[in-house]
Amino acid sequence: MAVVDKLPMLDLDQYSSLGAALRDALDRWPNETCLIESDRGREKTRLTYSDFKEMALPLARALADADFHAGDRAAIIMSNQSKWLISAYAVFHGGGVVVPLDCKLTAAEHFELLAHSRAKVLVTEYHLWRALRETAEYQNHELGTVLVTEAPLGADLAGALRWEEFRQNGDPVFIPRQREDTACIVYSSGTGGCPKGCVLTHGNYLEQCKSLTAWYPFWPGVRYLSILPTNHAIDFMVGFIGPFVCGACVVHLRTLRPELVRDAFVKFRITHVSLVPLVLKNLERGLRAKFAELSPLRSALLKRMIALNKLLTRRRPHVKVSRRLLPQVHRAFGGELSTLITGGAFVEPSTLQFFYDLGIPVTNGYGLTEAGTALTLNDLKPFRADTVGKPLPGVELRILNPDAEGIGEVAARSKTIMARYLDAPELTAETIVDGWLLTGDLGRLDGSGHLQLFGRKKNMIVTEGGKNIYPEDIETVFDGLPVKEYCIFASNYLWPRMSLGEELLVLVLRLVENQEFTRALEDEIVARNRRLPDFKRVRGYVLWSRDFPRTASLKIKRTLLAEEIQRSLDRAAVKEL
Amino acid sequence: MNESAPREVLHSSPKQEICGDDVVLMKSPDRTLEEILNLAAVHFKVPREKLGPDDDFFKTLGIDSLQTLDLLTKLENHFHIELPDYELQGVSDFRTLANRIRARL
Repeated sequence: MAVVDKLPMLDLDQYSSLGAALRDALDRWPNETCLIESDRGREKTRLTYSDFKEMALPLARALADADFHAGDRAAIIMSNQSKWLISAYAVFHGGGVVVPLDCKLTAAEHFELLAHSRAKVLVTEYHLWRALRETAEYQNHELGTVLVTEAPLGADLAGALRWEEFRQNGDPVFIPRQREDTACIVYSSGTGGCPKGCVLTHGNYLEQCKSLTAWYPFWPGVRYLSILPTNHAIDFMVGFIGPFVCGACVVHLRTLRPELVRDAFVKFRITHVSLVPLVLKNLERGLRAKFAELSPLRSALLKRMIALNKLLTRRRPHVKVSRRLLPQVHRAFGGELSTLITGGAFVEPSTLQFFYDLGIPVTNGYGLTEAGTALTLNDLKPFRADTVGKPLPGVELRILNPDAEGIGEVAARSKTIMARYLDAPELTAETIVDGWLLTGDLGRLDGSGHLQLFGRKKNMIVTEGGKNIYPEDIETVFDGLPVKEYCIFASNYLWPRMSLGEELLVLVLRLVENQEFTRALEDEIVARNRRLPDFKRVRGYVLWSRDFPRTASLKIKRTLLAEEIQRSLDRAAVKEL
Repeated sequence: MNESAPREVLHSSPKQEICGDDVVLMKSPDRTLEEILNLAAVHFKVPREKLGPDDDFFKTLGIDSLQTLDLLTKLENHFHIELPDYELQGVSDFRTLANRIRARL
């Protein structure tokens, strides 16, 4: 799509902070639409960059008047919506630090991370605020200023303030920040006593945005569908900073319902979207079901068109040609979709291939919160379903201790790598060594510079929804289980396999002598497991007959235990819960 | 296309009276739960007798979180209410879901 008569994106080299870049963006495209918010198919909000500025500056002024200073932290716990982005900009305007938290965590987890981040301000939605107040932890936490959006009239806010009324007239003072100053603290995992708060600087984000837009630029007229939660590194960058510094428009839906997501592509003529594998697979399932309903004649015609499209797009995408060959498919995506980015977790190559064969330029990448957003991305020259792409501009990759097949731990060096983990110098020193981020992922660089991933070295899983789950974070839910001892592992950590996907958590149980694994015990495990969100649940258990190896301070030696289990048992020993 | 389950299926319990949408507001907790179970059985093509009120629907139905969101729309249409996505947060059994719905009836 040609870019005509529009001011180009900001030159990010000229900026030292996100606040400064966003401030200029708001003035550069005053009449362009920057945000559309829809709820159940009804458009609720449509803001130009000028409108956005008018809403954000009184908030920034009110924050300043409420003693919020440069370097202070403001946590945001909200679903994807305009007030998330407006709040974040107001914080950056005042030189503050944004702490984006996942609104799908439990209230107890929210309190833990609020305490860890020492956030002075909390911005949240009314229903989430209600949930926070209903927990036992609420009484034990000093929360500072709490701003609540969309509270019903007359609702008891227990000292919190209405976001919509928290504003002061008068120009707020813009507080400049330097590239090395902290912009965000993003939790890549985090509860259960081991919060990993990634301290990301303004420089990290500006460099990440520059490298991503070098390959996948935005421009005024782009309509980006923001489905991933904005607290996620991908959406924060690709669904906020990236579009804004390019004058593009972001569409929020407030729902992940498949049929409403599908409708949004059409209604808002979406041009760009990022999806986690879970959503991509859902779209694939829907399309395959539609294809299965076709008459034999139409089905045969579709297959021929797909075959022709494959032939014509084998070297690079030709989206206009694909739209002509497969008009119904492309119309289902609004007819203007030009880039579909997927990441956050392992994507089945067959799913990627399915969409690419339909002429939808799907590109997958690889990244970690610790690395900003993305380290690699497919450039579609040509399309490759079997890799996570090439290093982005400015990213260096190394494979540490490669085996005979060239597979080893992926290490990365880039200006996008976080400064440190918050309040965890030892963990930082283990993770960033001589400037190289040790990813814990196993991979290989092929002859054309593409990265292929084969598994993980670390004891964790990444769900199809893009959530990192560390066993240590969920073990507390089993505290007091009537067994001698227990431990949770990622199945692929216990039994490494040369692929990603099918990642499960396994509960290893050591029973008391003469104890039987009874139905009552299983019921208790199931009941406790169900206290966890579905994506965090343990999927199976194994019985282990020896005492766990422990350190002098009685901590479980997990690596040693995993090695012992690997030597004695195989995957078949896992019983489903 | 109206994807709601046929009402005769939803009201299949012999103890229940056939009722129209106009009396939906008067449903008892048991009736709400029963209708959700019937709706889920029809929507996910699972025999009704395999679904229990306290079942973990992710496991029993073999579905992921997005597929459960699909069910929300069916429930909205059936009960004539609006259910934001967050109402499903932390819910994995039919009984709790029924309680959330009744709170909005």
